[in-house]
Amino acid sequence: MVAPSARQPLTEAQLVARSQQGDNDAFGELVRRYQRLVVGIAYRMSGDAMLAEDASQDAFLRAWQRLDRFECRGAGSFRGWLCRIATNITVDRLRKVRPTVPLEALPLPGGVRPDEAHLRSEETQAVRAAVLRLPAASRAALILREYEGLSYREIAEALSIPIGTVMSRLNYARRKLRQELAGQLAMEQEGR
Amino acid sequence: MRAQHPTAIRLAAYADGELNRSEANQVKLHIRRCPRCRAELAEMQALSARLQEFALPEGLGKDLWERVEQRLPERRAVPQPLPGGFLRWLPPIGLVASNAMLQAVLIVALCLWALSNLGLFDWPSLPLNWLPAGVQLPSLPIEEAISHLLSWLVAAPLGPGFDSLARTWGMDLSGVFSWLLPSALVFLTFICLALLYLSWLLAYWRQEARSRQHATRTT
Repeated sequence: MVAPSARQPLTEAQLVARSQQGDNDAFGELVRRYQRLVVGIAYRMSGDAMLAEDASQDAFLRAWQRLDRFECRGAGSFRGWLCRIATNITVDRLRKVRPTVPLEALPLPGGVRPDEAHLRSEETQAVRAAVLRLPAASRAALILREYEGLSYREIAEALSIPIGTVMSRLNYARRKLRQELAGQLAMEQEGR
Repeated sequence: MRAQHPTAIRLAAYADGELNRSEANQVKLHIRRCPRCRAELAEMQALSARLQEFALPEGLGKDLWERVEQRLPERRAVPQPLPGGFLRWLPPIGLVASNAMLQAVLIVALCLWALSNLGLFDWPSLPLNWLPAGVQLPSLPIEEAISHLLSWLVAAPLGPGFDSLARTWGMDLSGVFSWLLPSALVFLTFICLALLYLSWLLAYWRQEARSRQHATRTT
């Protein structure tokens, strides 16, 4: 049990250790701490709120099932491990559920369809579309860096790739995004 | 000499704060005097800012734990590490000590038996003399049975004592049985102690192996 009146919140390593002993409450605390991270990865990888919800649940379930095999290598290692699980599960789901879906058919945030796009600005749509058009490998690296703030090393560990590959994937993703969003970025530069 | 422009990857690493201090200073100095790289960096930063527009929908992932918890399967707990300190070693110490004590008693008994055979030692006549001085068993009809039982409990583990026990029953077992039966009893006790010790050792190895395996995975 996680002590309800604990003066100091438990560290990630303590929560992981307790979860490994089968403590549901400790795992619940880990879920609450990292749910935004996992949901964020799943949502930005897929662009689909429903899929993101399901993938997030699956990610935490898989984490629970594989917790025995998790190697705690210090602060933040659980986060990286979770990022890897969330990315893999989302990519798997995207492959199985929707191998080739035209971007226009992708549901917008909150289930808004493209024909209700008045709720979102064109710029926001363009950013979202550009990110979702990236190849999954580059998109994953970009999301972990730009949205989740992981370091290159953490991204490398989460995606099981060398740091050099992280840098080249990020470079590719950013170059593509700059090409796609060139108009917006130019307007922004002029506005400054 | 004209300074080389940093590559896009290097510039991005600078923007991401991934360069070490020396490398970062080099890029920083270059950017100060290079409008092209300055513009490149500004565009990277603008892109990062623009990307934040791809925000999460309100309420996404709300009550996630409640939904995950409903689907959580039972998972066997990771083996607990063995207790440290004296408690950890209490079972083997107890077993080894019991064995050693039994051995000592046997050796002493054998020595006394040998001395008595040489006429250098007289066994007290059991079961009457083994009671402390002044202690009398109550004079009941079962007195004799109780005496036999007590003498058996005290004398049976000792080879020569068994002979005394036999004598209290009026049996002449001065032959093979006088040493074979108690010896077999003692031998069986040794075997039991050894088996208990081996069982503990096996359990200890197994637990240690599991703990070590888990520790390797979690450190």
